[in-house]
Amino acid sequence: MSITRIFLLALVFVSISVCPADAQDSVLTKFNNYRKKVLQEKLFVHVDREVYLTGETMWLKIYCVDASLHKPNDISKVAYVEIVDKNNLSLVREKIILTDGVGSGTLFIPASLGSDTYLLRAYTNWMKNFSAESYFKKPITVVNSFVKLETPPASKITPVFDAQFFPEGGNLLAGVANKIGFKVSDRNGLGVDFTGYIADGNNEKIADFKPLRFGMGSFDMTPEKDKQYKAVVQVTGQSSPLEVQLPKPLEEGFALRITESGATVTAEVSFMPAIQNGPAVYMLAHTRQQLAKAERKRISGGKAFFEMNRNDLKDGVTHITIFDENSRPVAERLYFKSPVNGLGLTVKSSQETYRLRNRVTLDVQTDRPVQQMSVSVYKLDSLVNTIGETHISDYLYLTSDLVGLVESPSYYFSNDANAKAAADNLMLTQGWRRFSWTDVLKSKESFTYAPEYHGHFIRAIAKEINGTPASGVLAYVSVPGKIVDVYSARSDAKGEMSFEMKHFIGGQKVLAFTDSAHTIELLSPFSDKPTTARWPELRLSTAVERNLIARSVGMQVQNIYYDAAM
Amino acid sequence: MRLLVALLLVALPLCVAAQQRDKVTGNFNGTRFAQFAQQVESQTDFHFYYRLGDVDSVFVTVNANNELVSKVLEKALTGTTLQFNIFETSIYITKDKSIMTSLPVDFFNQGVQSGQKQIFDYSDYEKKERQRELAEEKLYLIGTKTADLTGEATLTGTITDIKTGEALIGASVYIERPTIGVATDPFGRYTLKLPRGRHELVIKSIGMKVARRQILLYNNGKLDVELEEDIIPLKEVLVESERDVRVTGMQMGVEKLDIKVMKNMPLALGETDIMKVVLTLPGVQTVGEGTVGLNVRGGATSQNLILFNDAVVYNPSHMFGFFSTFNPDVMKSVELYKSGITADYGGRISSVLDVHSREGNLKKFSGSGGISPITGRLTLEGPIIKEKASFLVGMRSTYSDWILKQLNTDRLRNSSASFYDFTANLSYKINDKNTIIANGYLSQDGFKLNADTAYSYSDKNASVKWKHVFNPKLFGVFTGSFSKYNYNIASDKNPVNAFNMAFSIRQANAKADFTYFYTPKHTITAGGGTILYRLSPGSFLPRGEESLVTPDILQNDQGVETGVYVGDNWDITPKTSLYMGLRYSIYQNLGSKDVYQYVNGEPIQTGTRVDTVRYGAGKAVANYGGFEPRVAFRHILGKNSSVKLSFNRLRQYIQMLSNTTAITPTDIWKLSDKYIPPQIGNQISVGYYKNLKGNQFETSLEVYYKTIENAADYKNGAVLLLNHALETDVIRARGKAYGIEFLVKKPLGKMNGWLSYTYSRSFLQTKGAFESETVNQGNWYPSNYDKPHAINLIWNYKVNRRFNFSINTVYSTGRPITLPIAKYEMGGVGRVFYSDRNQYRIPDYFRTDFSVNIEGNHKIRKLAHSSWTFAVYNLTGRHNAYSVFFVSQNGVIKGYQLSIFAQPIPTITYNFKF
Repeated sequence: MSITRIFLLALVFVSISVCPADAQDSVLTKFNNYRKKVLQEKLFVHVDREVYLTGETMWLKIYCVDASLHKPNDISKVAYVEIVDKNNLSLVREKIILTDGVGSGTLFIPASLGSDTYLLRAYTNWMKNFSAESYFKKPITVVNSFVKLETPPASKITPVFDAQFFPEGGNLLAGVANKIGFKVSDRNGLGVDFTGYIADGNNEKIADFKPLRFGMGSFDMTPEKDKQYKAVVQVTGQSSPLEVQLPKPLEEGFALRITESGATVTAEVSFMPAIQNGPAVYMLAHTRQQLAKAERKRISGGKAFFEMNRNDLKDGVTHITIFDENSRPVAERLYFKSPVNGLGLTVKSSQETYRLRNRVTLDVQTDRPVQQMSVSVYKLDSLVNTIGETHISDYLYLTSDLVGLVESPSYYFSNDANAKAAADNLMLTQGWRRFSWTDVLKSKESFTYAPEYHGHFIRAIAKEINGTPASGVLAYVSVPGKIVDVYSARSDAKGEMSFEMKHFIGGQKVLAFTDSAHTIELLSPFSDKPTTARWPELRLSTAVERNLIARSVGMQVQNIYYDAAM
Repeated sequence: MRLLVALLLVALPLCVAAQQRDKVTGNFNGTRFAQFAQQVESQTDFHFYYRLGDVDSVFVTVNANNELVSKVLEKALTGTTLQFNIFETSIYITKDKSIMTSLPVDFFNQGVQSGQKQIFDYSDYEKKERQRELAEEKLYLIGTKTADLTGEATLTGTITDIKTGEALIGASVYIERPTIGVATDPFGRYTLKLPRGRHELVIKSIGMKVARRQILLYNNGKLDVELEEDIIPLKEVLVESERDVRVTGMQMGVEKLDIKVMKNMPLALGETDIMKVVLTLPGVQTVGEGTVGLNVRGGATSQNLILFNDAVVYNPSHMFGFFSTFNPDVMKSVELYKSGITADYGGRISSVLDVHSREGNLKKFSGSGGISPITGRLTLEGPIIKEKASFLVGMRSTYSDWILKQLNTDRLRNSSASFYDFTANLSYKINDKNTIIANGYLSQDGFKLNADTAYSYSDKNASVKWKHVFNPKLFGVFTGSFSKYNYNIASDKNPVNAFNMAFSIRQANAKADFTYFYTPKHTITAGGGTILYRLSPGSFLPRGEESLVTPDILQNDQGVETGVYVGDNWDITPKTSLYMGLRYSIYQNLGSKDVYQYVNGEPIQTGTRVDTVRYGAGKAVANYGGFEPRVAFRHILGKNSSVKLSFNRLRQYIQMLSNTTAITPTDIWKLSDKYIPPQIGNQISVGYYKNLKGNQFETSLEVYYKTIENAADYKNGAVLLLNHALETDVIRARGKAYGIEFLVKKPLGKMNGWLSYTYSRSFLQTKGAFESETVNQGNWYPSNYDKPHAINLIWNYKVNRRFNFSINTVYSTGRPITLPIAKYEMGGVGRVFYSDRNQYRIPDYFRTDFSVNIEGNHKIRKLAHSSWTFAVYNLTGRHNAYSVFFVSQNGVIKGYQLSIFAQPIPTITYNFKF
């Protein structure tokens, strides 16, 4: 283990500066380089419930894994957990120590929070180098039972809907059969039921469509060149339809279509104009940066076909990207393979019913040996989250590789007959993904935030008296206590410096000082990247009143009787 | 395999029996609570939850005959700190805190209207102790998060006292780099426009701990801060909070003193006397010991505007001036404006002494008082409506009459001297936008020398003030006040010429002041006010049946003075500020009244009187008025130093006519009329301020030059009492004064105090058109209060929290007098030849006082806190001359020196507070 650790670190720190001098400079070399150099971490936070009352304590366990292999990752030692509101203001913050990639802790939900839905987000220092979309995030509902709701009841809000259309592969190509994915959602990003049709410029109906699940679906159409198409969407229960212009069909270019038959997954690349000797294309497929297939073919008669065996693909989200002769990505499509081998988790309790204060014993069985586990026990009442629960496998295999929040992710792992088709629709309608070719191809080499391998970094900035950053300034940080630790650092060109703290646990005071000609300012270790995620707003029906009072009394009793312990 | 079992919800029994058993029967007599609970559980469906430690000393005595559980519990827990909370079939017994067993009214926000309002204090859940401790280190994110941190955003909020919840007025809220700051308005609110980004916000307020908040300002937002009281340094609090005000503040020539500072100083007669403290400041002098009048920067005693809670006080002295009329227990602060007087003040040309009393305690009833050999005082205060309205009453009286009776000198035993004063304050905070404060003040004096003539005088005033916030940028204060000063002299020793003489002055005042925070750089003040004066200049009436005194009543005199002003405080740069103010005042002397006319071009004297013109009621006899510009400029030089410059002009429409140099009870006040024009004062001053050693020492140097027009002076041998034609005895003088004041102050620390040196001169010139209206051949002569050199030292040393002593040393040049310098005979009669006016001086003045303060222990839970003060006035026993006078005895002129406190005077005072 420790050898791997050192090796990984060496990759991070040493090879960052190595320039890829590969003569071919092909996509594959760059991909491999990036994959080796840039360690990706994923955090999953298991919280004890979905809905909290202010005054309650959130118990949580954090799993930090390698984003590709989904193995516990012992690089980062500190996880940052925040509760942010819709204005991206961080209201509750905590740092939690990670040991062998696992940490646990609590967050007290203060009554200064109003009833609303908030986003719980978690990340490591290293993850701050990447987009805020890569952070773990989960909407949670907080109900402040001491003050009345600020939001008016749901019935008084005018609904707003959003319809989006995504041609497969990214382009709508004229003269070729295109598959188009669509998603119609409400203001909360939740899918709605509707009917719709596509009309051309003369208002002539071309194709009908309706969603399969969660407002998502797909349809086929062969667009003609020089025509402008529009989609008309009638949301169920709404009076006036929505109209959306589809992108103008391209006369020249690439289109990508994935088809499956049996175990064979075929990527069909179309090219217009459909000349006999077309250009060469290059296909690269990878699942979480683990290469599935890389192949080069020449387009002939406007078509090229790449075949893969479904069983060779790893579980989860596979990226299939088509590059042109100049190694530029021209079309991309996600493909989802639901994991076949689950953990086979079964939980049995010792009795069917219990009396007050009886001991409860749980038997947990899995098909394979398990290293880490967390169990939360809570009362099933009507207080539930609108977006549905998130399980660790849903998160690691699916939602962590996609943008935004996925409604009821567990569904895609179920045995439902439509689950596979629904998952394909989900893949079609994705924008952002964790993996971005622009980063790979430009060979991003420097990172602002080092992973906290030994312990927490205190970052600071030295400034001249006039407020401009000062470089080369020596500064000290000390932690007063019985044993005084003193750390020193010199500021870099940007005036910044880091102090790597040891045994820095609990609430402690820190003194930072420098020479009299400069000032020193400690920087917050929390990410200042705002999240762009949308999440559902609070919906609380009057029917929960009884449950809410019971929870509220329970919370108060807990606080009053166990005040000293908390 | 490790297993983490997360929280288990407290199991709540939710089953409700169809027919609930909820009645209890039983006799409990000193039953242990646990036993009681068991019995109730056995008779009903309820289950008790409690913490053993909370109930183990609780015994229940209650008789129940098939009564509801809630009723029984109510009776059982009366007199304990325990509360019961019934939820379904559970009964939770809690200490101090209660449990909210329902949701707030209209929780689901469906617009359900309900008359009842639920108030539940959930602040415990809002901020756990742990989070409050970290408040200073925590980074507060303000506004909607944005990546773009260019430009500015507005931060607003309220500063309150964490203990009382009271809004803190005038707290400064600022950032240091760049220096941007503001003071909170009368409702504790502040508005700051700051560059977006990271700042350290500093919040300072008098008597509060300095608070700092780390903020990251993204967008417009709100940050409320609660300040904690600064308890540990018992006495230095005020100065600490305004440590750098002397340098960075806009005002110059302004001295602000807090009662806590003043109470530390040693004073005669064992009582804190704000007037005496003010006298130790540079540029303030007095004509003699045991007098109250102040001479500020070469001005006369009557040229000071003395305001007590915005109402004018005419005579701030008790008992020949040994005491001032301000009861130290109700005082809050005193501000003395020597220069840099802002445009909202007007009416006196030399200085403004603004005295404020406290407001009553909003939380609990309390009191304080003190006993010394001469006086006793008691102050009571408390809430009328908790947190909203309060009262404060202070009383003080002397028992000197009783002491005089104990003396064995007949002359003294037949004398009497007494006084009392009474101060009341009511304040009512109606809501966040409106506050009303009412004040009343009464001071009464009487004395009688050797059972002959009885003197009495009294000063009364009342004021009502309404503070109103129109919006966060504009607030106004509306004040109405009434003052009355009158004196009375009566004699009935000889029934034949028994008399009653009286004088009174009344004034009613209405004003409105507005402050408008136009932009962060401009604060505009504007307002106006009117004063109506009514004087009864004197009446002399027979007293008793046998009296043969001819009644003589002087006609009433009335006038109206109106002033309007506007001012702008402009922060040109963070370092440079300019205040520009303009006041326009207008005055009318009104009838009804008879006015004598004199021959034009001849001296005004009885011989040249030619006619009498009668003016009807409300007719203007004379009109005066003019602009009064006020300018102040400040520039901060470095981190700890600044220069300031100010100019002000003031007009005074009422003058005191007195042939003594101090304020005495028999002084006459006279409104400006046809012959006596208003006084005009101009002053220009420059100052340099520097704080040394990290604000430990404050130093300042101020230079001023002052001119006075139309100062009142008198012809030789003038008669002021009951004079129907005062204009024949009063002449106009010009005055000029200049000086330099130097001050070193150490406001903080175990050892604190100040040292000041002043060099100042004050001259008058009386150069009328006629010889009879000219003094000293029209040459400049020193005024009565011209004392070139003055040194004051105040030194406090705090040995520990309970024990401190202080020393006060005063030196000044003796004041000028006019001496007889030669004796000659004319027509066989010996006559005395006097020198030119004020060409000689009485001996220099020097005095040292010493006091020790011993406080009891500082235990918080105590019935009353008390302290003892031992003081010695004039420790060296020097015979300081109050005056030098000459008496012709048997044809021989003998010179005498009068000393008032020629001995060390020890006193002991007991003070208490509850």
